[in-house]
Amino acid sequence: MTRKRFHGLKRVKIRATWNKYNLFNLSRLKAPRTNFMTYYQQKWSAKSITRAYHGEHIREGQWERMFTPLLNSVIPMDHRYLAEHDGSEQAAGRGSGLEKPMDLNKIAFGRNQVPYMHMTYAPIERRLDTAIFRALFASSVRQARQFVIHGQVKVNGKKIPYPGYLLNPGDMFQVEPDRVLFATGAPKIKVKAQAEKLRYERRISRQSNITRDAALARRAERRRAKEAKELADDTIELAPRQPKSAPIELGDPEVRKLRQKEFLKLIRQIEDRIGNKKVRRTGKRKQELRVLLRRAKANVIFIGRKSLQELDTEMKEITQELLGITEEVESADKAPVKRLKPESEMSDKQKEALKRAIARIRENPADTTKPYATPWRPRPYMSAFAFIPRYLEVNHNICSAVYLRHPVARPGLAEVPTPFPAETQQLAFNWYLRRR
Amino acid sequence: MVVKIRLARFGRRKAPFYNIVVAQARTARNSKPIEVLGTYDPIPKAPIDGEGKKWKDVKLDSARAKYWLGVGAQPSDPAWRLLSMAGLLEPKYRPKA
Amino acid sequence: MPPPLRCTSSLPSTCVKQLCRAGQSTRSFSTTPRQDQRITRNRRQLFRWLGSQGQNFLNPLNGSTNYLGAYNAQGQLKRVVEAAAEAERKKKKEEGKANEPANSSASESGESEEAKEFKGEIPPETTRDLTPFPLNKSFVSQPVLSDDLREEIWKRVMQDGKSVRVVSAELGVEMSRVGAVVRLKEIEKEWEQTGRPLAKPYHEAVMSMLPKTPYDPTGRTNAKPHESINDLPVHRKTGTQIFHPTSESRHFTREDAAKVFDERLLPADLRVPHPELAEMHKDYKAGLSQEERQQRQMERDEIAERKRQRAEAKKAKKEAAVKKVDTGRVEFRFTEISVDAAGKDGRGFKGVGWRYGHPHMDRSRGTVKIPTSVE
Repeated sequence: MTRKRFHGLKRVKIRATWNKYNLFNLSRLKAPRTNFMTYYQQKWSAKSITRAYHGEHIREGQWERMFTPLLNSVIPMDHRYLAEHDGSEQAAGRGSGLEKPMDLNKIAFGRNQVPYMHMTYAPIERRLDTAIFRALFASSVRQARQFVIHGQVKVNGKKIPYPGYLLNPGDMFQVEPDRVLFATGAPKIKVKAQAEKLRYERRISRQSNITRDAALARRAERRRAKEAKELADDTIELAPRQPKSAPIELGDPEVRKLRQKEFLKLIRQIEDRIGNKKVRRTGKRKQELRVLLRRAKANVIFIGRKSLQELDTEMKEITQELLGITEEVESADKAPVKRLKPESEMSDKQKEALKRAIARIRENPADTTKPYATPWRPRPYMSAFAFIPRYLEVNHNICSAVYLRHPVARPGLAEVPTPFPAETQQLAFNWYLRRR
Repeated sequence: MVVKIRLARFGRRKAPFYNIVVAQARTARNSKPIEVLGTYDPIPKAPIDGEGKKWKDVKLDSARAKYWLGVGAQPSDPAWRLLSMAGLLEPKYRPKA
Repeated sequence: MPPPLRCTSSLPSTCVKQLCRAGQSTRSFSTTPRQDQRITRNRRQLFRWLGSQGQNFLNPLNGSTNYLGAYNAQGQLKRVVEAAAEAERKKKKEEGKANEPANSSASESGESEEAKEFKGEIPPETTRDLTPFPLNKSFVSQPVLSDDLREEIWKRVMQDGKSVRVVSAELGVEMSRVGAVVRLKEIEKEWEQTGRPLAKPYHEAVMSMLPKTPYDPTGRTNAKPHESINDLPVHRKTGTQIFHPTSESRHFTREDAAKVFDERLLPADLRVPHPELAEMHKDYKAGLSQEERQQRQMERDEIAERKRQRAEAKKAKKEAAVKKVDTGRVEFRFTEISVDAAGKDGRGFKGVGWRYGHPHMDRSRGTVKIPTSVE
């Protein structure tokens, strides 16, 4: 038997994810028809569909142990009412003719009822993995769970590797921002450039063998012409550049590969230094380290466009600065001075715009080393699932949130996010209420 | 028979926790002692506000400890260290400055 | 249960060929049809939906939330359709007043209006448009605090030195939320200072997708507060229905009702988070002058302050009783206990230390093995 699909289109289960299949299923979800079912069947199916959304990764026994028939709710009180009345007006007048008969037309049924049944799965919202998903730090509960297990989550500043940790009111949880950006960002699309480069190199080598195998080359050329048409501008740009550097350094790709490896090693070193909390550093020193890291990464990204000499000098400078030798800072200062000249000719508005644009780029840089599409943008179909329940207070800048209190129901509103109608929830509640 | 003040190791693997006990010298380490004077948790805890030194928790009934020392109970080396820190004994070993 | 995957033999021969060919590119020897390539009716529907109505959700809606509940079956924003219909009705009314002919031109102008509305500004959301789950009307995406409001809360607490209770009442934000906002803001500022990069683009994207409570510096009274701050938690003891006969002449208040439910249950006036607001309103209703009210408020504040100081003193005394010995690397903290607390059999629950003579149940079935709280 094959494994059942997580996001099935035939046997539909609504899941706690931001998947587009899930969105489609949500859009066509209808209240289940129960008129031909026995009560037991109704309860079973209700429990089945609701559990697929609420903690499907939790074992049934575990959930049954968590389940409680006591549901939290609050009634918003008006302090003016509390001050002006002491409650006796509710009790007075019964039986003395002051009481008015109840008018059924005037009662707003359902409007002010407390939707208790939507609170059936409230205990699950207390779990750390679910809270991370609800705070929009992960695109599914399972992903949130993985983050926790992989040690990317801290509770009150302490690493907690247990997805089932039950948050207490006032607990603060933090997720590593890079993980959050990965989870909520658009997926990285494999850039064609790499493949194009490979193809180009193969073509070059073929050209050198052209005397040896003329017929093959001609056929290849025909194919190449077709390809070139498709690739258009990139190859045209690449073609004149490559021969220039090629005659100077014959073993270029090999050396470049070596340089790249060295740079990657350097990046790892800098990252280690930044991550090493045992050594106390001033904020300035940390900033310097980050600048160095950025510079090294930029070199890795543009390794194909720089000459070997440039790379060597960059490498030397970075290593020297890393070792604490900062005599060569002057050379780094020269570049911005050069750039400043045209800036002085700009108008104030232009300067402002430029500054803002630079700030934006700096905040959201293009960086191929990241596992998500850069510059960062939200993943598709995220907006349909973006809501934050009131029992959490989230600061997305630092990817941290505080679990304020347990979710509650209040007249007309329930804080547990659930896609199912009250009837289904009630049936599920009754399923778990049974005494065995 | 000699009465000793010593530590009895409880807790779990890699999570030690000691009872400071008064016991006959020849009895087993974790057997029921004459009296439990207190506890010693050797795992350092980080301060709540994140500043300052890590700390170790010791709970001790110093009056009873004094009594047992008075009637000739002999502390083991680790117990001596704790009791001297609590000010009940002269330190046995001094750090060579 | 039907077999989830149809056997190849049951498929027509052409289909088998096709499937095999499709699989050849990756696994030449495999005869298993790739699941993704089976185009069922459901899959076709999915892709049709993704291409039409689903397009609305691909990217966030500019300057608005974008939930399933806000769209009708045709994939149009319900509020835009309604606004367009309303505009058209108005126009018709006006034109009907002016002159009866030129019906066709009216409908055309109505269409163009609709188109304009789609392009231009979208009407503000109602509660209906904020339901992410169309079947569950009881769950609404409630607004979050806007950046300005958060900054203002931080400023009032940390810079103006106001108490959390006061700021909560002023801005209509729960006390626990005020505390959390300040705590998170402090960390954010620390990150900024040390140069640790913030997830700014992510923050902006998320804030653009959520409904927000704006900060209104003018403090107009008609602005809706963020949330109700005086939430009375429903006590479990009040869940039972009680028939309690009293005399008709009795003045039966909330306090009496609480007593009936449980002897120790406090009345609602004391169980709400902000009992001082009702007290202030009582003074106001009693017709006291501004100075008198201020005087009474000061008295209440003083009482609260004394209470706080007493608690602090108690805590300090406890702290002082702990003897601290610094050994260089770590600090030893000696707490005084009493041997007698363990009782005669040594098993009293107040006694310290590992127990003798009965097993430790921390590993038995059913007990929680992961931490239950983090300091």
